[in-house]
Amino acid sequence: MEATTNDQYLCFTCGTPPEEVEDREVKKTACPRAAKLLQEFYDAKISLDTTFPYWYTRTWIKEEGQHPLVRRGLAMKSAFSHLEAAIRPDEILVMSRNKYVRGASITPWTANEFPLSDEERARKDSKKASNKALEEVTILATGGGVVSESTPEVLSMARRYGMRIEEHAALIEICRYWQNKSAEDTCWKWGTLHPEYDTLVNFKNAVLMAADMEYGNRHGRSVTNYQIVFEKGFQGMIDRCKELIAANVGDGTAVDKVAYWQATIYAIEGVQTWVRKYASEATRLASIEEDAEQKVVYEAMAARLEWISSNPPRDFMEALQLHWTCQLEVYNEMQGSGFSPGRLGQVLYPYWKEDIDKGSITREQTLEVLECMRVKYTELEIATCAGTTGILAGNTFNNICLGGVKPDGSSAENELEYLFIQAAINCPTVSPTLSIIYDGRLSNAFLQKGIECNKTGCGMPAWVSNRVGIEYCMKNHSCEGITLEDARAWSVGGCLEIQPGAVYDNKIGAGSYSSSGINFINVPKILELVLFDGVDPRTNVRVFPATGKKYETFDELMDTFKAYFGKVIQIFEETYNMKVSATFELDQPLLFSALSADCIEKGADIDHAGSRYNRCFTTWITGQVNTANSLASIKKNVFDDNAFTLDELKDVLLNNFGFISALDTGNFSMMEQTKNVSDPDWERIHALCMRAPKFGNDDAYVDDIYVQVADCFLESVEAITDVFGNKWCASMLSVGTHGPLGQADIASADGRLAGVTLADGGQSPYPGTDQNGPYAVLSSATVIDHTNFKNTQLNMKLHPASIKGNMGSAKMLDMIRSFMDNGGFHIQFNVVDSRMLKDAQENPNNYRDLLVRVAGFTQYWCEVSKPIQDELIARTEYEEV
Amino acid sequence: MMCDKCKDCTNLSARDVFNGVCLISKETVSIDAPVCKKFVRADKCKYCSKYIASEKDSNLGTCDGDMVYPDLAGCEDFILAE
Repeated sequence: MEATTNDQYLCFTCGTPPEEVEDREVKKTACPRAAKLLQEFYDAKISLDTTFPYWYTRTWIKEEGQHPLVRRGLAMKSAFSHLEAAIRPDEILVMSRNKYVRGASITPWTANEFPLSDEERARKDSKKASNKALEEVTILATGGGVVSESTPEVLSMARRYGMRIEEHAALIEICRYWQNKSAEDTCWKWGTLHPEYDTLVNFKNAVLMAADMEYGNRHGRSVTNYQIVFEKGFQGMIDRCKELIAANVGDGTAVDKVAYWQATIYAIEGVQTWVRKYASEATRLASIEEDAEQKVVYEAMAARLEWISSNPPRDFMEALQLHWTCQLEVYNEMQGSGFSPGRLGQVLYPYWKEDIDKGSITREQTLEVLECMRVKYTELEIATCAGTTGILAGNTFNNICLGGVKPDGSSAENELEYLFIQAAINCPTVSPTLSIIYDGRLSNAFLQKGIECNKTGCGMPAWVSNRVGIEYCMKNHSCEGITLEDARAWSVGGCLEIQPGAVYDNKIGAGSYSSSGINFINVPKILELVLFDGVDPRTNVRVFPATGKKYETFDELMDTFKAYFGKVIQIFEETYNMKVSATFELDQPLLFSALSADCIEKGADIDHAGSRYNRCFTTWITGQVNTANSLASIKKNVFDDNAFTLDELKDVLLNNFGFISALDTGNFSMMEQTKNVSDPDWERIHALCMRAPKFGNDDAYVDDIYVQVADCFLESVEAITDVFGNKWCASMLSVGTHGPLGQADIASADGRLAGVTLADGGQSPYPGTDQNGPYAVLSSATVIDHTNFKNTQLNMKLHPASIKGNMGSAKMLDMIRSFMDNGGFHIQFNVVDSRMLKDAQENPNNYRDLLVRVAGFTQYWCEVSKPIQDELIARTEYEEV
Repeated sequence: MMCDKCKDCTNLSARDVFNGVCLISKETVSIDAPVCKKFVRADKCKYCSKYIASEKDSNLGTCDGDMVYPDLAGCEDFILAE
């Protein structure tokens, strides 16, 4: 057998790297307090706690017969009220999801299946279209805090979470109670209302789609709105609900509204009790603390927590603590990810400015607590099945946006935001990720601060275009009457979704929500279905009826591809509308809604269009660059040059060009594959496929095909309306899906081998194929109109030497400006020497704190799965910009 | 008779399902480690007078007819068993 790097066709470096491995230029250290907390994080394993689901379920059972909203509110109140308060040494900002540092909880009313045994899962109705097929091809990370193996005291669940054996029996009892009641177990039944539901089941079995996101991880990709709670405090929000109940109780049509307000009151009361438990614990710790300085910290903490349990914040520290409490309550309330803090630096700025001006806080103290905040965010975990975990790659996608403009159009940057960036420079943490909303009105100093942060290699900030963001909002939320001020207040929800803002007295809040899960479609699989007459060649699942069609021209083949693409999207979105409607009655986001713009005033939660802006249902795609490359290869080789026939291509694809599948070699990039059959004809076809035009080189031959794929996607997505009567939205990013979805695909006509990870992002070239320099990549990436998409995503890998010094910084900023000026929306960078990543893969223990940018998020290298690690190593490294 | 462990102490801040930090000594300890002289029993269901252990499964019990598990933190009705 012959191992090959495929380097006769691919070039994984653009330019010549320095002889010696080079570290990142900017390296700082966290303050002592944050460093200790960070070490505690490094030492912590991801752990499940049963307290929240236990009390939620117990109360839910007791309250049977109540209005569904009130029942949920009471269950929520009970669950929050019974959470334990866990304060750790060195903390200033406190509260965690539960008693563990990296604690998560299962929400079995949403998804109850994955904790059950394989036997119990197997008994489920086969029509359910479970995540099983996806889980089978999903390879998860095993390093860092991951608990991938069980011990006598601890069970490994979903190959990621540790659970105490003492709690397992209770959790299973709870999950069994939710059988046939949970969103997971009921929504698919609603889906069967659709005449083509069986086709959707085949989509899932063929891994044409990622996972069942209508329940698991449905919530998120949103921006948390703090303005209401900052103005009223928790008690003020309760009082407002009481006023609205009193004003509407006599209206016979307002029964659901009254139930909503009452449920909200219960849920907030639960949070208040939870916060007060922390205040009591801080008081207790102060009483037993011997260190005088730490005693003062505990006493201040207790006073702060007691105050914010009812009242609006009076200063920066109270505002920071209250925002964190709100983040946690949202994560505990729902199974979701990507509840971004949005324009947090701008929301907190008035409190901080007042404190700085009167001398009650210093910049050093601010930096210290911001670094501690970063550790808290990095601790966040969510509990999902292995399939979803593979997609999310262990991240929770909390995005802070910096810069941009104020509602009046002036630059929004402020001094506190510099400290936000400095905290990310100092403290090697994955969350919150930072995005700079690039606008020509931002100062050069501010932009350079962002570049300095990029140079640490932490993968942030990402750079997003203010112009595209505002245009997207004005264009796509015009049906909801969006104002220019709210559009200017836009922010990034989750890793990259454009979400309009909500302006309150010229203050920036968040105005939208995303109640659709991250539903990724595996685009290369659609081309496989075209080539193999409706059958998935990996599983032999028939997805579409046979037609026996023979393609005489490329246009005929392209027409079938577009028809299949449209059909996949149509069936997915239509069945999703039905399925998600079932979940609306089970996991109403009471607390997130209470924070959201307009929900309380309207008397409707976000699942019932309570938000100010509700056009949010979104479909994502993965592998579109591989698909465009494959279509270009077919066009050129089969139809233009007659170099081989479609039948010959199909044969060689089924035989993986003579190579061993990546699933068998365990190597998931094209950098290192193994050939086991040397057939001259297969080698000839493979060479032609590899040499066909590739996206990312400013080559119109393939870029035009990419545009056709993107246009087909957009038109198909927007042809369907969501449950609120708005058009669905189209998104192009990958998160971690390019790993497992690639593992489910056979070899493709672009030369990619079976099981190899797909291209990341939305516009990132396939690793090793972009050989015309970075500006050619930018050119290809801007062939589409980015303002049509809820997000787009371009990732690039730069060698640290390529942007070294002031000149390097200037070049990098020029490149960003060029991309934005040409209509690009988002660009982010890995600044790393690929050889360092290779060494880290071989010696992970030496690189616990090594950060890499994946696709919309940063992750610790050791907590990235092998398929994504391989792709990151293979991504084209630019030696010059 | 159950044997107390560090995880049953009110002064243990659990880091994860394996280890925690003793809030008295500030040291990392295994949560399954035997307790020290400064042990203060945390309010847990298994220590409550209302807790009835299951005969079938030592990790399950009942409280006023509701299923509970022994390590669950005690609720507002917790009364230390004699």
